[in-house]
Amino acid sequence: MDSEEQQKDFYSQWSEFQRSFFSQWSESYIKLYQPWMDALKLWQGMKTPATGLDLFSEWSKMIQATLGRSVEQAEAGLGSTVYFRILRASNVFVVLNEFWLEVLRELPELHESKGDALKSREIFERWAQRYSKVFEQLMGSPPSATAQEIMTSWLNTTQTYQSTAALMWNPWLQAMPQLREQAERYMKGDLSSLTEARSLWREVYDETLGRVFIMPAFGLTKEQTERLRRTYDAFVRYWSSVPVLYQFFHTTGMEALKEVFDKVQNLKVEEMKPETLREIYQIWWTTNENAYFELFKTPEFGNAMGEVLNYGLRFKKRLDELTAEWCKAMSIPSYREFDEVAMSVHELRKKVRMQQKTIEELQRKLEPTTSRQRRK
Amino acid sequence: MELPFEKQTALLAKEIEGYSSRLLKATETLLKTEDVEIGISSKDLVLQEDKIKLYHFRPRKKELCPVPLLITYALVNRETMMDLEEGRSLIRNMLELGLDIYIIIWGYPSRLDRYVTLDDCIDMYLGDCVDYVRKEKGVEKINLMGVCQGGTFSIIYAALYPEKIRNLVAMVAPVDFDTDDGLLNVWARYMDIDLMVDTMGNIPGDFMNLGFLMLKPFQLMVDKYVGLVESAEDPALLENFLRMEKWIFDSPDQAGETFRKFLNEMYRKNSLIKGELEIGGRKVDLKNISMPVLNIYADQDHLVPPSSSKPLEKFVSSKDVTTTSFPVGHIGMYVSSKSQRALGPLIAGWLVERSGGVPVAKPKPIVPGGKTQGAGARKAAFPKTKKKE
Repeated sequence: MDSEEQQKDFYSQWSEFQRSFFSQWSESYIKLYQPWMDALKLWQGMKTPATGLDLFSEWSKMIQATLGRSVEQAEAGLGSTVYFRILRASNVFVVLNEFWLEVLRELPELHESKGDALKSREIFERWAQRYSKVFEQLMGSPPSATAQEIMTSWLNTTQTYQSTAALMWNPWLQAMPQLREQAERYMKGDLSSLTEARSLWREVYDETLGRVFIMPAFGLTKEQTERLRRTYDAFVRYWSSVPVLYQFFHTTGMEALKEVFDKVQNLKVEEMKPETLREIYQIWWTTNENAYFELFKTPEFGNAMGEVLNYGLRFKKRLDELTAEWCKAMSIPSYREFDEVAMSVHELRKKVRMQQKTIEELQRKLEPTTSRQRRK
Repeated sequence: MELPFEKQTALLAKEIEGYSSRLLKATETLLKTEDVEIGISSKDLVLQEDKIKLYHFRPRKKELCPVPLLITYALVNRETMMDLEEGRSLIRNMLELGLDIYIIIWGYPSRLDRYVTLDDCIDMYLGDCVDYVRKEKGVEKINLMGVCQGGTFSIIYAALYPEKIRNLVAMVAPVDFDTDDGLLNVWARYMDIDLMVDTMGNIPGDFMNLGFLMLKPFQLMVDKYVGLVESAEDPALLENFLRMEKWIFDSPDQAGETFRKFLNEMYRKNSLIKGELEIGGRKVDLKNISMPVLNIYADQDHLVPPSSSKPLEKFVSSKDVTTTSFPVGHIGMYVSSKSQRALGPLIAGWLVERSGGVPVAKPKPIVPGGKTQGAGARKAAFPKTKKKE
């Protein structure tokens, strides 16, 4: 660029700068003083005493807005941070002020509606709605860090409660469709659905109610509560183990029945005589005996039988513990006391026996000495 | 050609009439019967320790075998099975053959006995009975015969105290419990024995009965009673049936700690033949059994399968082991007509031969069906006897 061009460029830059500065100044001027100009217009438009309150409210808002803008333009630092916090706190005052302004405006209406319960109620409901909006506005303003901590804790607590409740009910809700489907299959005669339904039911129970029954209790009745819960749990487990065993018996019975039919058909009975009936009876019970013998040997049956037996024993054990506690309360000896006595008696018996043997041995040793003495 | 409908109906009607008539007659007999006696041979109580009683059967011969015989029955059910009724009494048969017999009766354990252990049963009670007989008869050694679980007890005792036993007879006695041939052996694997004993204390006899009935549910709970109606017209047969019923359901409770150790050590761990069983603080070594052994098992035994009782000869050091079987079931061993004629003479003959007594007449050969034949007849189908070389 030559010198003439350089001179032109500098001038265009300077004028551009001037334009930009003025434009910014006018913008900031408008932003800064606009609220005052609006308030002035309002002042000029005032007519009734009640609007004094409006004036105050508008004035408060104007101050908030002006000061707020000043803070935005101020340099960052401790001072501006604190100033911003003050402004935020005063915003609460402004918002509440508007609410009370509306309440005061409606007081004459409330006074007029004295005796009219419906009208009074309507006015109060309007106030309540407005107050909830105020509350929302206030709650909407950024809370302090402490308030935030409290709110977070409260929200987390609520969420935890909901999650816990969900933990209890969601598994059941999720399992419902499958359980329904299994119930339908059972109705149609498919007994394998019984085992599946029971497994699913147990899984969900273990995740939900089962945990409630085995969790520790608190307080004075801790032991009794835990005992009672464990009894419930034992009963549920025993009760839920029975269907599987039943299924084995039923399935085997059906299969044996089919075999009986085949054998009876092979008899090629031409006429029904009593001997034939006896023969069919013989086929029936021997076929079933063999079928169940084969079933009883299988590990699956053994496991199912063992489960029912063991769960049944645990349930009985829990019931006995409950009974013993009730007996204790009524001063009735229970199995525990009997067992203590039994143990003592057993040990005493052994002691007596040992002593008897010792005495007999000593007598035997003494015998030669005694006979010698007698001979003398 | 199919019978006309009327003819078929007539046949069925006659069948129903016959069935009803028999049932009515059975009802008549049953309603008149208050109780039946079992255990026909006279005996005297000679020793009592706690609930255990030792009886001495009154001898029926003047010349007795010089070595007395002590019979140990199982804790399960009663020993009266061996002395059920006239014509079906193994004990009577052996008394008639000159054996001098004592028997231990374990009694009916109550809650007070729940801490009686297996060690107490074998080391203490059985031991005291053996010592009593030895002292009473003035002999160093006696003959010991164990039946079923009592056989296992006798085998253990003989291994611990071989110096007190002259001859050992094991009848349907389980030694090797690791077998799938018996349902009891299979089921025991799935049961929590400790939980059972901790919960119930003593194991109820009814519980044991239920288990035994479930081994053959249709035969024992249905067919047996259906068959009864067929023979109900004969009061004598009906009474025999009632005696069997009385015995079957006469089940003492099992002392808890005895049951615990027996099931855990035998059925779960099979520790007897492994040499790991301890009784009274001493290891049970079957190799200590050096005296003559007669091992009798039942071919059709569903309670103690042959695979459980037969292997005894493999574990003892005795050079004189006789293993014999009968084609009967567990109970049939004592009450079946097939075994009645042969079992008593077999045991008596074997014992007397080894006790220095007067030889007993050898048992007559028996063919299947229970008929006996004289010399020259074809060889008996049973008993099958094998002697250890």
